[in-house]
Amino acid sequence: MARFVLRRLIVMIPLVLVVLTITFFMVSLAPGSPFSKERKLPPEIEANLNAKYGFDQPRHIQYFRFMGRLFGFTYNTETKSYAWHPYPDFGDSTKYKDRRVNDIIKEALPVSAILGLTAYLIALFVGLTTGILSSLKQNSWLDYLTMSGAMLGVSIPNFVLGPLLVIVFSLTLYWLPPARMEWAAEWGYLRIPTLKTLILPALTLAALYVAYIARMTRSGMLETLRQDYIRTARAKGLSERRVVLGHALRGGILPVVSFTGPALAFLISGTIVVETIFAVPGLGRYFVEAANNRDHFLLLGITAFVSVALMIFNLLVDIAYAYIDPRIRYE
Amino acid sequence: MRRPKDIIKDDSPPDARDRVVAVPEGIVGGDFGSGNNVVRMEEAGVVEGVSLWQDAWRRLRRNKLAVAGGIIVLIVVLLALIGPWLVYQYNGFTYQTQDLTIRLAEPGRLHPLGTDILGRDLLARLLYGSRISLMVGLVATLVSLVIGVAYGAIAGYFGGRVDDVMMRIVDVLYSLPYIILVVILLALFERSLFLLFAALGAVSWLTMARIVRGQVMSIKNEQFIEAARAIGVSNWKIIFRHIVPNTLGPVIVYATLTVPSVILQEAFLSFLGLGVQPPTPSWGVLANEGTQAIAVHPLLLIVPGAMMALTLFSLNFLGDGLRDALDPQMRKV
Amino acid sequence: MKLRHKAVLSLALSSLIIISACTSSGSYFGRTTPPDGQRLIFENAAEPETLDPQKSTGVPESHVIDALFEGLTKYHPKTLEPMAALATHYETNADNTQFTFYLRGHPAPRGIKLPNTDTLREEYAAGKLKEDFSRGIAAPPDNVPARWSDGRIITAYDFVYSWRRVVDPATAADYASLLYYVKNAEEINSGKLRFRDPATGRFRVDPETGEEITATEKEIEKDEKLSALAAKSELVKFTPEDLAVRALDDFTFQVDMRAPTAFFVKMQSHHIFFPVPRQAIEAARANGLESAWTQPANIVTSGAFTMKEWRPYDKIVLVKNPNYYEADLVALDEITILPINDNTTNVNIYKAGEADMMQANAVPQPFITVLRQKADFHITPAFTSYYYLLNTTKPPFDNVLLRYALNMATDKKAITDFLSAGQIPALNLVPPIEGYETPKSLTVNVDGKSYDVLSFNVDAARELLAKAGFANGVGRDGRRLNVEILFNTLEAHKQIAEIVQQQWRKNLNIDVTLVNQEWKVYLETLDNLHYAGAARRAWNGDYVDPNTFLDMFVTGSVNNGSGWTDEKYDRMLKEANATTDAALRMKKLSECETYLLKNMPFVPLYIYTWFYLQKPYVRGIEENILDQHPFKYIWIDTGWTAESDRTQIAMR
Repeated sequence: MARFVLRRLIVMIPLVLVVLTITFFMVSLAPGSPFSKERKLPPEIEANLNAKYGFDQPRHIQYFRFMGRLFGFTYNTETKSYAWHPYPDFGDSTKYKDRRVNDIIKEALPVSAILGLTAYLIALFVGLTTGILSSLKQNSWLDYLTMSGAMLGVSIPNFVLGPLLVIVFSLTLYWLPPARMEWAAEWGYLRIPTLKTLILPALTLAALYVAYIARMTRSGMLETLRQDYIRTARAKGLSERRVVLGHALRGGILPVVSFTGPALAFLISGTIVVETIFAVPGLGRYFVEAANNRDHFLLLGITAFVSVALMIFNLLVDIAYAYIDPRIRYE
Repeated sequence: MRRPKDIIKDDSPPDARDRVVAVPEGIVGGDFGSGNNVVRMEEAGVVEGVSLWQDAWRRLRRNKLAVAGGIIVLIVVLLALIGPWLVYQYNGFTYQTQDLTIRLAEPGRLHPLGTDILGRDLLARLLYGSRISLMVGLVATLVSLVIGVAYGAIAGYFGGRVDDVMMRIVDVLYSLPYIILVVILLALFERSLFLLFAALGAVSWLTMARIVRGQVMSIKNEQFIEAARAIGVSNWKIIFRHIVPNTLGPVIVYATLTVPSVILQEAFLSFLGLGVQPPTPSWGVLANEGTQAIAVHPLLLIVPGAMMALTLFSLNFLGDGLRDALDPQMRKV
Repeated sequence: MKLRHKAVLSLALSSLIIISACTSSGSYFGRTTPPDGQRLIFENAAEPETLDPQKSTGVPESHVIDALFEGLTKYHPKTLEPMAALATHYETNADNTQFTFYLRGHPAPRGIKLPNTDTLREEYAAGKLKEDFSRGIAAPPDNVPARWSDGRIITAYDFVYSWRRVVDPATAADYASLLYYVKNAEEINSGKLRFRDPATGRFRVDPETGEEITATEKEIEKDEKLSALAAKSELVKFTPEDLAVRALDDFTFQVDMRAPTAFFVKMQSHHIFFPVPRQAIEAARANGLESAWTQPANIVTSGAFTMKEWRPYDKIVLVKNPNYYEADLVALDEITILPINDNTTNVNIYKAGEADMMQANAVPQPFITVLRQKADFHITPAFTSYYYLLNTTKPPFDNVLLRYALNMATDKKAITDFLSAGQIPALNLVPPIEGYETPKSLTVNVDGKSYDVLSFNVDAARELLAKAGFANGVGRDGRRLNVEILFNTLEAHKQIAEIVQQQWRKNLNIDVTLVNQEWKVYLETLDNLHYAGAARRAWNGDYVDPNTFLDMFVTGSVNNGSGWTDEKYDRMLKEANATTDAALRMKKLSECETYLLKNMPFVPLYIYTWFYLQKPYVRGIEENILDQHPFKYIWIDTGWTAESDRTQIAMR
């Protein structure tokens, strides 16, 4: 297993480079300039901007310089020389001119990560509980109710659910603030939002995943509950609790685990809709904005982060497989 | 609906094998190459080639919820096809006819669901919007089913290097920024329905592939598969005749969950200039328009939302029924 | 059973929403309680891209920057005319080609005295302002120098440094072109070379025009004559030091213009002209990252406030600058600026009482009819125009008769009725401002029949369409005319396009296709004139002068978008701008606009308004057409209550 994990970690480096290479060429070939605005700039000013960010160079030189920065070699256009730092430098944002991509990610990532993680934990808890309950009482009113709730969760998009929750809890009952986060604690870049300001965005974000997890748990459980070994376990006199949680759940949860990898990676790297509705300073908005603005380096920086997160979570999922289901082995 | 033949079943239960050691394997029927496996194999493929679908159909018909779901889906499809024409006959409004003097009208005799912010008949827009949304939901889900299931099954079955390469490709595709991908697609090709499907399908299969792969990895070492291999059944036949049917449960559930997400995603692609062009409606577009007016005229949001929920409920029951009907373990009840 | 459940739920939800929309049926929207101190929370529509006055371009940025920095002049809170800021007086020569500014601290300033806080008090006394913006406090004497927030005196050398920085190509300032009116600015900014004659040591001039010859490296490569000339000359690159600005002494700043520029003083309230703190910029550069000078730890400001905190996408906190030259007048101790992208969120925060005022036009369209009944919802005219460009390079839109037909077939009132925030149906491009007479009708004679081409007249539009070769909407080749409407994806643009689509279809019997594109793609399509028909466009005036609209259509302007150019128009506009007599200049500008409308490279749709919510206890604000609300005058009426408000209204 250790060898398997090590190999996957090593393979990750070239893979991220592949992702960034493809993204680099995609964004540099996409129509539209990072500097175009409603009020168009005169060509000579656009040329100055291009020179400042190195877009005046042929594409392969731009690519080479970008790759250099990934390994810590930053090219200085004024001194025409490279300087080295022990960390990847994603360069400057073309939109947020006062800030570097590294700083933007450092500030925004912890916020998204905490929000995403909270949302997923809520979703996991609610989804598993309702999924298990409704599978045990298949075709009961409880089953119908929870599964209807789940379907509602999928068909009410979060851009609808968010405003609805705000109308109810903030503007009618005045229990919770309608948007924005306040911070309960701060350690450097790590900021912990207060529960009061975290709850609505986290619930909004969780709703969709509750539905997915509940539905998949239910169907997985139904399938395993029919298996012989569950019967055997029951026959052996194991407590229902152990049968369900110890045996049936392990067999039925596999699809949820598979789904968790990508879902968690995307959740912690931020989600534009919830961040916008609740004015959360997370990474998701930067990601979409960077794409919309052709903010090359910001987009590449966040993409790098998303792909690393995704690969790590998928690796964790693969490891989890082996623990949950002993039939799965990696050579 | 319990199966009488449980005793001779050979699923290798993870826990049964590892923990419930008290039960000797022989009794469960785990002898390698024993007759049970052969019976099982025949069930899965050879003998039932003809009866599989008939059998499933028979069982589907018996599931009342599934039948009801199916009927509602049919009605929705039918309404999508002729509904706009009926509304036009009734009040002379197409999905784009405006009457700016009756903006945001409440439901009434002439406009059963009221009007939108530009004074257009909401019912006409809703029914016309069903066309694109149903089509998008169906096609993208099919793509996700076909590509995702095949891809995931192959990766999971062969494992090792094949799996490694195939799944790393999925990781890479996942990581690419989608907006830029769509913008480039739009720059390279003419805007068309096909391009829309391609853009939606391009990503919808990735999670499906991962889920199927996980399931396949879990069952590929079962004895009935090994038995099939031992008697020389080809890999492809094993994958698609024996393994894939055993993963249908999560596949159908995930597929029904894909439908709404794709329908909503279409609205996002419209935003990028790829989806339907205004004033053509779709459910996603209507829901977006409705959100704008949420505090003033909530009906604009509730109507497309309810329509989508209704369709999904029905699809969902239909999906559950299909799953049960096609489930190899439930056959021959 | 589940279906009933769902129906009940949605019913309950909808009734809840309606209730919540109605419970706030007081005269104010949402919670209205003043804070207990002089603290203001302002909702900005976006996260500032930069707070460097010389790199910034957008409105959300300008709200923050104008609180932090000042220039030679600043906007009058109502008329937006230049007022004394870092300069108190200025002089200009006879033909408006040289300006001399006297800064605060000059012992004996000369020339025209700019209005100051005392003027505001006089205007209030004369009934020209709603409120006394001086609040009884006298303007500071002109001979006291202004200081940076770190205590250093602001001198003419700061201006020289700053303006050079703007035109330096390495700064890559987006709006550097606003400085192109200054001599040599354009040459420096575009990296041009001059040709020195090695024999005489002089720069070569064009013998015909008498102007100096300059060119970029690329131009020299391409042009044979220039490269021949280059071979026998010494090439010298323009450097920022060549900019024609100078500090005559610590407090006298002088600028030479490229050409007569009557409106140059009016432009000085724009932040591109503001001085930037050399000490902070150079310190940040020495620390390895120049752009970090705007961070709270490094920033040094010249305005009424300075920055305490900047958390991107969360908030910016400004506090009073004790070193400001008019610090006594500043009432607010703290301003919190929230970047809120989403309009519904914007309104929600305001409604919950967690913000006091907001950037204009960040209210969702469907809310407007409800909000118009509230006393804290404000609507005021804006200096912004919304119009559809017509691609005059693509047949059949090169035919002006067809363009007339499209304009006359557009019912603009239907659009403004729909928008419902007081927008004005537009007959022309330039929004109404004092002293400028906008064209209200324009009679054109076609085949012996007169048409007022600015009017809405369906029958006439059909006649003109027929004369353009599309009788009843069908062309001579038997094909129905198809007009594309291009717009970038945004709900408001979409709805307007849908309305115009129906109007043109119905009124002209033609086909109209809507094409929505993603923002950057739309900009590129517009720029390359790759659209076949109309493209939506909105233009917000930079400074209060018709020229900011009219010069979009001169040859070589990058903001034209219609492909229409005309030498006569170029000449007319140039002549108008060289006119020193203000009234005569306005008259000539009006003639330019009439000529422009006669060629109709666009269909004017409507003139914007600013609409926004603002708590009744926020005082010290006048409405104006640029949505400028200088924070330095704002104060909070902490004793405000709904009752006191009612008695006040009753007394009025």
